[in-house]
Amino acid sequence: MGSWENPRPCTGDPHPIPRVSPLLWAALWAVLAGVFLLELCLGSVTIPFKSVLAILMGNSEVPEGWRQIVLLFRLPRAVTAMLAGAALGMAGLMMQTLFRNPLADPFVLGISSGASLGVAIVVMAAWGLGWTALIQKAGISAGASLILAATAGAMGILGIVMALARRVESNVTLLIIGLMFGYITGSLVTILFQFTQEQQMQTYITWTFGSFGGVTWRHMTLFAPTLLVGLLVAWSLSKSLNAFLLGEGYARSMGVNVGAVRLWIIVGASLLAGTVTAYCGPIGFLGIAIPHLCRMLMKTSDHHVLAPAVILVGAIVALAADLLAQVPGARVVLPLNAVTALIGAPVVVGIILRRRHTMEVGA
Amino acid sequence: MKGGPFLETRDLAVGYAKPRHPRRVVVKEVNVALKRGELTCLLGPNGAGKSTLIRTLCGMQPPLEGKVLLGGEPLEKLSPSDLARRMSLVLTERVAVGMMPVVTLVSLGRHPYTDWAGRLGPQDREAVRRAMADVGIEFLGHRPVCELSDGERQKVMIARALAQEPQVMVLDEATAFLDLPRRVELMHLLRNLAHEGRRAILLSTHDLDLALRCADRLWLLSPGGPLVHGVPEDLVLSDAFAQTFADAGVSFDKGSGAFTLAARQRGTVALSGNGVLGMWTYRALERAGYRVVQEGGHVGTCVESFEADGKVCWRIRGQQTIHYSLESLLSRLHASSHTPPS
Amino acid sequence: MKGIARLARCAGRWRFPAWAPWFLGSGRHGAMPTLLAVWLCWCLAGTPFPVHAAASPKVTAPGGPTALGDPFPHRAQLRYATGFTLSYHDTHKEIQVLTPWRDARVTFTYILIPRGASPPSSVPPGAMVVEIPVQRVVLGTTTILTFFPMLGVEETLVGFSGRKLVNTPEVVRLIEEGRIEEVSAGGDGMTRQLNLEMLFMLQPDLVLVHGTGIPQFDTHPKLLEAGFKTGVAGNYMESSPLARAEWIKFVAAFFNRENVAEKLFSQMEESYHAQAERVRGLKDRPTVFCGMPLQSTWYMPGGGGYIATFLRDAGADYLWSDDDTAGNMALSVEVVLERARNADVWINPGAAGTMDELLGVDERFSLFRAFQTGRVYNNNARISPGGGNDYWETGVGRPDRVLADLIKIFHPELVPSHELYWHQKLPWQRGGK
Repeated sequence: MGSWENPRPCTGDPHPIPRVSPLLWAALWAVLAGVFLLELCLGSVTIPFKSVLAILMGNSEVPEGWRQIVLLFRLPRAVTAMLAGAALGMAGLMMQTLFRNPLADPFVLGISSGASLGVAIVVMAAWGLGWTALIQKAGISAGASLILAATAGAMGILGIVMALARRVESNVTLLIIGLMFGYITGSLVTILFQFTQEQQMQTYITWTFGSFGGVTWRHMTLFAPTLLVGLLVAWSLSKSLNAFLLGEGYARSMGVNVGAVRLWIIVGASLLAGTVTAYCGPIGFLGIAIPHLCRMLMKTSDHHVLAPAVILVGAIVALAADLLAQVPGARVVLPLNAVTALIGAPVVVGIILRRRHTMEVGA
Repeated sequence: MKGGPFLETRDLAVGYAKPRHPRRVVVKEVNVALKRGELTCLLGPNGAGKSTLIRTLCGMQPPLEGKVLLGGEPLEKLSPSDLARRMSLVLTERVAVGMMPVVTLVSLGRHPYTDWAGRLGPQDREAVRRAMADVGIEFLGHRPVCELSDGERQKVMIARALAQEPQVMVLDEATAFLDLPRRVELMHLLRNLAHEGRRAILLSTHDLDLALRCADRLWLLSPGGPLVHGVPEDLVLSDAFAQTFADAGVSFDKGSGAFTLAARQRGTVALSGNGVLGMWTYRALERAGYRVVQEGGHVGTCVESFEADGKVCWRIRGQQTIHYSLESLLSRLHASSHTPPS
Repeated sequence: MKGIARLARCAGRWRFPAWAPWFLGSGRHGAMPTLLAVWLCWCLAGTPFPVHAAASPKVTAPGGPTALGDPFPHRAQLRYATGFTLSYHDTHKEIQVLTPWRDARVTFTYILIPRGASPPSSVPPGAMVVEIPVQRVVLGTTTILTFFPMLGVEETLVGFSGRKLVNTPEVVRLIEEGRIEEVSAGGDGMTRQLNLEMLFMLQPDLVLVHGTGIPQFDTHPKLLEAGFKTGVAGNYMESSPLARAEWIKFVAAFFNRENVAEKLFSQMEESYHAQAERVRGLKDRPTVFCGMPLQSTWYMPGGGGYIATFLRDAGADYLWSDDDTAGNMALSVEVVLERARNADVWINPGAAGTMDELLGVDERFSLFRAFQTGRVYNNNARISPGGGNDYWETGVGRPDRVLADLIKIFHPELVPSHELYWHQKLPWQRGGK
């Protein structure tokens, strides 16, 4: 019960349902705005802050090169990072509740690898049929097929893992199974690429590093709406997710249609994780760390609170990771996955150690 | 609702019928009812099928034959939300929701009544408050669930089930992991909830003593056998209890209302003494393996219990020694039972 | 044999003192398990001595070098290549490959002796002795292949890794006649592995491959262990086009054809310098940048590398010539856009074949003026049906012709009659203009 809690109200109700202080929300929004601006201002090319503001205002007295860089490179990258962070965080939250496993996330359970497999198959088919030989496609129809393939791949793996989850008692065993599936799909993709040209192998390897910079405004016309729809679906599932926290037995007794909700969770998580993977490559650790950060911050497992929190905090963390990956000032760019691992893994270890006695979803 | 029982079954048969597995009937021809204001306990040895029966009654498993009626309507016709408004559950499993404050957990019970966004109206808040007051956990309001003891946690789950405002509450071995004082406390709580709240409560448990004392009705389920039900004392007197738990070397004694192990008979002892002292002396002698009869008639050894100078004492008739504890009395008896009486 | 049996019996009987740790064998089996374990570890770790086929001397026929005169009448001199040295001695030639791969800590030494001769008495440690002229050659890469038809020794080829990638007509004909076997075993590019079984069947005198220094990718250690005469060619490390082409002398040394190599190379050298001279004094040098980004990183060739040399010699102004790096620089797309937005020409954008493809990768490429004016050229005009790019095959051996292409791109008015050979101006769509 820290300072974030509401003070006792003056109404007669001795037990108000605890709410998170509006101050906390305001602080989060402020941090998000700050990181967003930093992302626009920092990069390999030094552009002064005033110029960035001028560009955002639509002022045209700025060098054309800078305008192009900010509007066509940094702005879509920032938007992509926010959406991707929110999507991965939400997918991680849903999966942690569905499996009642604090270590579940799309990456660990092999979902991202399933999406990669879907993407690889589509790319192979495209190459075989004579379309362009590189992974990121821009046209609407090609992009849609990419999303579909990624989501289908993600759902396929998630379905298999779920079926196995029913027979497996321990959380850790399930994670190991998920990791193994990740390896299997990863190997399948590698094998597939042995049959293509060296160019694509190189492209694929670079793609596995993860990056927010590959999504242009043209991609965004499909990327953003898909993720927004996914986020809305997930947010609206909050009530049922709360019931799921108690377990499926209790959830059913409270009137939840367990089978339908489970299906929606799978579809939602696969859509979110699959789309992000299709456009940005497989990005790990955000899905695990962000829900835990939010639980610590909001001090509750209530999904009505956690859903918006995960969206905000996910956007912030993804932007921060992208900033770090660009190593402002230097000429090199670090692989995004390396940075997310450096951020996410200590968070998870810290949380596990602090709550050693309760390795539970809510802890 | 109608005046009839809240839940009743008609020729219900429960069991397992999975494809490619042989059909297994756990119990059949079950005709029972849960009435308003009654606490019913379901007893039976392990493996008799109590959980299967409970799951069928709650709708988690389909019955093999027959039907279950809730408020007069068949279970399978009810929508999940209707079912949730009439029946709520408390299960054995530990719930892993660590960080959630108690109030939020209890308010989860309002799930069938709130809108899609889960917002709590004034009615919902009142129901939560009342549930917590009934169970007696008002002072726990904002504590996170992970910090509670097992007993408090189960009370929270009962409050959650109460907040659902059901007509029927079903508890599946909800007292299993608790220590004896907590179990007694919960049993009394459930009895009050049933009587004062005018609900029907079904509790499956292994606590035979508590069930005999607190329950209004008992259901006895023996492995493969029929489900016998009735008022607890009727079942005891009609030997249904003994039959249900018949096992090698274990027997139910009507006299003491407890299970006894057939012990090695050391001999016969007559007992002179009554009241509380007499009762406990009787129990000690019986536990040590002696058949205890009333005094009178020619019997070898007779034990007298009496009070002298404010202390309780025992004496074996015909001997001088006065024992001030049952321990020394028993060791004397053991010794003398090895030597023939003089 | 009896001695070994006796030794084994003693080992089995010996006991370590009781205070020794259990793994030293103070148990009832004695020291045998320990000795067995140590021997196993030794085998698994591999012997610590380098395996080199050269260590086993071959049976030599009687006689030595030809009685009359110098065994090596033709000698080559190196003027540009720094990746290898070629020296001539009384009885043998010595080749040292100094830069087999980037930041290599090892060099490879080859001692070339005439057939039937005995190796010299002072063979440097780790050197490989090869009898020349070699008669059966297996190649692992196309960049060395082109020197064979140039020297007229393509008939010695018996195996090649990646036959479908070959462009040179003479070699293609040999492949179709079935005289060159496929020896690749999976992997591609720098990770290509060779099929050892096939090599055992072919029994080559010499196998030439590339090395990377990364053990998982390198194929030459396995070849050396199997006993093949393996040469590691470091020609791709050279930072000037003429130096790369001078490796024709490396190949020639194995066939005693240094005279042919010198003649061809001198012709090329002259032609190259003549062309470079024509554009040297020009004031108007079009600005140029090259490459394409992979995800968000643009690997731009450094100013000290061979493509930068080409561009400078072709009369262009390479926008990153200020950098000295010989390899590639990892730049962000922003930096490239800032500097190259208004560049005149864009050259070698990856594997793109049309402007449409480029747009498909990233529609922001249209921000480059070079793209808007359509002055985008790629070096993939000649590709074999199997996907091999002739630029990396024949092009390596003829830098003068490549330079002619580049001058045509940057200063077309100087060479009106020249047609682009390996390069093409990217059409908008496939099959279009």
